[in-house]
Amino acid sequence: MNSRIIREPEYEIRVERDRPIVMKDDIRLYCDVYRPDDKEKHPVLVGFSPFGKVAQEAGRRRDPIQLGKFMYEQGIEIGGIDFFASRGYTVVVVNPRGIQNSEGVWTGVLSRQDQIDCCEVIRWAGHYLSDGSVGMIGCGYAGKIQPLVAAMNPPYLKAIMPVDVIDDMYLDCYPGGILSDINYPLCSYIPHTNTISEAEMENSPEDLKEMLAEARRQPEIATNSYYYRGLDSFPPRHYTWNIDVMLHPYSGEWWDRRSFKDRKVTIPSYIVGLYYEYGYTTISAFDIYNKIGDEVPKKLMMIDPASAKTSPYEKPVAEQLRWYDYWLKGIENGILDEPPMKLLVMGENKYRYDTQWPSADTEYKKMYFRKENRLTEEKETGSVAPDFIRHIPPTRLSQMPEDVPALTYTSAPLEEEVEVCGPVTGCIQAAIDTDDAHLAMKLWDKDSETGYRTLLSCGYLKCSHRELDPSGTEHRPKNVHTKDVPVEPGKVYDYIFELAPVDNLFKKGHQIEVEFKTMDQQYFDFHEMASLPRLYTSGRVAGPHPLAREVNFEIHVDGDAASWIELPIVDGEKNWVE
Amino acid sequence: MENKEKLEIVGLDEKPKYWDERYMDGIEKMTPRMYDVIKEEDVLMQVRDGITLAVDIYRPDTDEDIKFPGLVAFSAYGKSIQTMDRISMQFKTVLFDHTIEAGDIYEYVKHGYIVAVPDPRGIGKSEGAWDGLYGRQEQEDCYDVIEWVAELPYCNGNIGMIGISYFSILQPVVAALQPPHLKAIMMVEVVDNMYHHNYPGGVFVNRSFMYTDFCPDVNSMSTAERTYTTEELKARIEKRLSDPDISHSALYSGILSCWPPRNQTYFFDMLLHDDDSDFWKERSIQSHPEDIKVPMYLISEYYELGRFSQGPFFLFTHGDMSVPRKLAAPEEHDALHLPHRIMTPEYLRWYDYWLKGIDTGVMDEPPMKLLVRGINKFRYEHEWPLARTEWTKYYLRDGGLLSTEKEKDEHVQPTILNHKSPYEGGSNETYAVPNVVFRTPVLEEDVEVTGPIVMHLMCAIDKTDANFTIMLNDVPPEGEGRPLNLVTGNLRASHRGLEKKELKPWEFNNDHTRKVPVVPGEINEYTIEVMNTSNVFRKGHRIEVEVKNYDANPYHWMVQLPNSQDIEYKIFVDSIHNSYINLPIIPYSDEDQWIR
Repeated sequence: MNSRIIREPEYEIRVERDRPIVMKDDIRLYCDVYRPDDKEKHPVLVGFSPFGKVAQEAGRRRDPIQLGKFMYEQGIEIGGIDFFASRGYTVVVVNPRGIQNSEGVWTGVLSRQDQIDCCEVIRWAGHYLSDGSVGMIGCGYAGKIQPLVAAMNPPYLKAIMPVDVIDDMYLDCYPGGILSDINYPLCSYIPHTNTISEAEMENSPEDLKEMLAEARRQPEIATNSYYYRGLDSFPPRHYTWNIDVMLHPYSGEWWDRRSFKDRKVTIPSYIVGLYYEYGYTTISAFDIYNKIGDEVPKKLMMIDPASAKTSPYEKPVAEQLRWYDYWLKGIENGILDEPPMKLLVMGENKYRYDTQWPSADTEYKKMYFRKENRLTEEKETGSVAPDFIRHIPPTRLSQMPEDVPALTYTSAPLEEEVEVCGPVTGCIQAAIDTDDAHLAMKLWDKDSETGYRTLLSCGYLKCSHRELDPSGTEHRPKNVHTKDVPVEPGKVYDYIFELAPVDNLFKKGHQIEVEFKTMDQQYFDFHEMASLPRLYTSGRVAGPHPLAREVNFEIHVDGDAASWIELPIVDGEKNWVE
Repeated sequence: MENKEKLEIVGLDEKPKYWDERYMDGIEKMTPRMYDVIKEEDVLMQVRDGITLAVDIYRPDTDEDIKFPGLVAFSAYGKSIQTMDRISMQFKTVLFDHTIEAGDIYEYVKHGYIVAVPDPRGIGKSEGAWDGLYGRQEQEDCYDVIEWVAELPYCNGNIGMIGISYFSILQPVVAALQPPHLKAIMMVEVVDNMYHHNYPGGVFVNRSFMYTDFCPDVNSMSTAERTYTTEELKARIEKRLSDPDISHSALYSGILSCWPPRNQTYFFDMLLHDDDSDFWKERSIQSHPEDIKVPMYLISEYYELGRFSQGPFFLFTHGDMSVPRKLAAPEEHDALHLPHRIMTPEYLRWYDYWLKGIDTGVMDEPPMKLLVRGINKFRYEHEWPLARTEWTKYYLRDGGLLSTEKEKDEHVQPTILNHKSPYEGGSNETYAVPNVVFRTPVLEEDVEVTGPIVMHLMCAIDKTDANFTIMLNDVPPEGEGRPLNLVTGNLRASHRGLEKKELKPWEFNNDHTRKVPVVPGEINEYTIEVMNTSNVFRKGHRIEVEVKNYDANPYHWMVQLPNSQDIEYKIFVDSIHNSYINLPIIPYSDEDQWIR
């Protein structure tokens, strides 16, 4: 993809360790500075990651290791330190507040405090180190904080290029309104020395105790030892980030502090996303790109499937150099001449250019659940019996993650290849015999010859969060996550919710497969960190938390009330990246 | 009385596999399941330095003037989850939790016991700062809880301890402090040496990382930070960070780079103390087994890695031999269900005997019962290693052969193992770690291996230090699955013993208190503890010895920290320098040894 010649390194690197940076409240953060070994001032690239600067230093000692392979480490978020420093950038890698040797208290993922501190780091780096221009690098957390900080307009910050962004942190932690533990391991990978939850800082001990007691009464928490014991501690200082997540089960102001939502970015922004089959990072890349005004220079690249991520993640580095050479060094390298979007088409494993997302020639096509596990463009005609599925909580019946009950609906082998690119919506027409339940829908690309399936997308909904928010649109439904609206047992509802977006070319002979499950905790690649003890994957699998009650589902597949998935089909001329 | 009626008394439908019909007398005298349960939460008690701990107490609901023995279940996993409403769940299932390990609390109470579950200092709602697992602080706090429970008005003053794993590992070190009211202990999974639990043979294993997830500490400080001066602590951290194997790991170097070192304080202690020292001896019963003066029942699962298969056998054979003791090795780890219920009848039978004075017959049967893997049958034994063992050297031979016959040629070339740094050249397939294997020909009859196992490796390395990982595998016939790893042993080359010693077949010669660099190219004899096992290699199978730097197969939950540089190992297999594994071959067993 980056066929252009990358310019050669020209500088030796000088490393300055543990330089202090004074925050507005006199707290000192410490950073490592990697700089060209000369007397000049250069543009600065800031990497701000709560995994700490030592993890980034460890990343310099290894060749990139692929996710899921031995010694992949999530904490290595700042790739290309030496690459940039040797090409005339000063790279500043910071320990955020309360991390490693920095002073103060860490208050959780993407906190307002971290955003303010990051602005101060940029101001310091701009003033003391730079030639007047600052940019930002990093993936994961170090990516997600970039648009939040850019929206605060710190001086010197001229452009950003985040790899991974997040628009709505609530949905990342509560997919479809269901508490998920995919962020739980962060608590043990982040090297904080001092941490307090925002809930503890903002509430009186009496109120806090009441909040903790209320959370403990949640049936899903009351049967999950990992969650429960932290909430039954006082003061609640074990895994404070997770305490805050559990104490804020609804969308609202607390989550908006760490979400992009309606913030405005006015500096040039190049958003880089990966196709994760879970979480809200992928959709956020498209959404944040779209929210940045057209008057702002902006680009988007969907660069890899999640399984191709590496530690350190070096694939985006060459493109980052082009971006920052243009904006921070004024080098005319043509990066703004090409179309603004480069999208990886999975299945084909090639990139194509586009000018908008969803693509201009998108046609939305519903595929209906049918009897005998079929998935077709036509519904059943007339009335047929619903499909049944029963949810038994895993604390009542031992269930291996791969054996959790599922209903599967599969298309006929495709007669020609089909690119599905864009947002995906699901609708379950269902009746349940209780007042709430969890729904999970998964989209697979299945090779009809080998039977091998590739997971493309997941979506979830807590039934009591089914109401649709008026801010949603036809192909981008948004559910209301500010309250529970109980379900009337036995009544059939349309449960409409969004799945993670995809860009996948289904090859001729492949099948589109949709799976419905009542719970979906499983071994995500993300958690297959071979360098860590396997209890996450042997004893604890990750995902939205299973409902703690038994539920019987009727899934309707008849002519009047058919469940469906809506796929965005892109059938036009493709502008492949050479 | 029929055995069926006896089983009803302990609340069972069928006889547990580990009970022999010949030794069922006495069960009829046990307390039947008869009481309702009262639970008192967050009962406060003070330990000796005035720190207040919160304790949950479960006790029989009775109007009678009757006093009950007490059972203490002590861990930092959080007391409030130990009786969480859930079935006994199988290992690896959704929402399975390793930390619900106190056991079947309600069942004990129904049979007439008080169960006390405290939160250690710094955990949950208890005051103070947590000090990690098994240290002197925790031992003394547990001692104080035992004495406090004994004084409760409804307690008869006789205390035992329950729970598996963590709850068990703590028992011998607390018993060694001799709390006056502790009358007996019973363990499932017990560790003799905490250094080798975390550093088997001196090689770091990331086992203890999980305790950060498991223990809800609200305030903690490492033993290192409490013990050393600031200068000494900084110097130790600096030294540890200079180990390239550590500095290649973002996680480990990150934890060690926290100042003050308050991130994952227990795991920090584990990372920091990479040689054997007083830090470890304080936590390890291996250094003072003679201090235990109460009867002990030692139960192990068979583990492929770690000390769980060592601890029970060590305690069975060491210390004050006038102390009554029993040992059982009943299951493989993957069969584990939690909350742990499978051994509850045996616990009741043991504690009814020692804490209630009921002759339940538990001391009538022979003292050891072992599950023999491969044939999956239980057998009684009396001693360890077994007296009838035929110690047999299986030589590593050229071409990957494992043979009881020694090489005759002194010019046979060594077998080469090339360890590749996992940090160079891209992604590492977990199943493709470089290794060399030595296999016997297909066995013509069943071969039983039961006992401790030691590897003798004649080896030269091209660096000053290297890790060894030795795996003993049972290889089924072609097409019947992949090799089963029975036990794994490790050694760090710089920990090899330098003094010449006469060794018994189950002994080895290493010094883990310091690192003595190896002269590259020099041939050394390395003696490597490959742990206890009991397995019948069936006819048609093959015995395999695998040598590698580390093992990263995804079916393990934890891995050895690999060496960060490439290493060439020359494993000598000639007639002068012969490498071998010494296997305890069991030629026969008497018919009445098998459990009926």
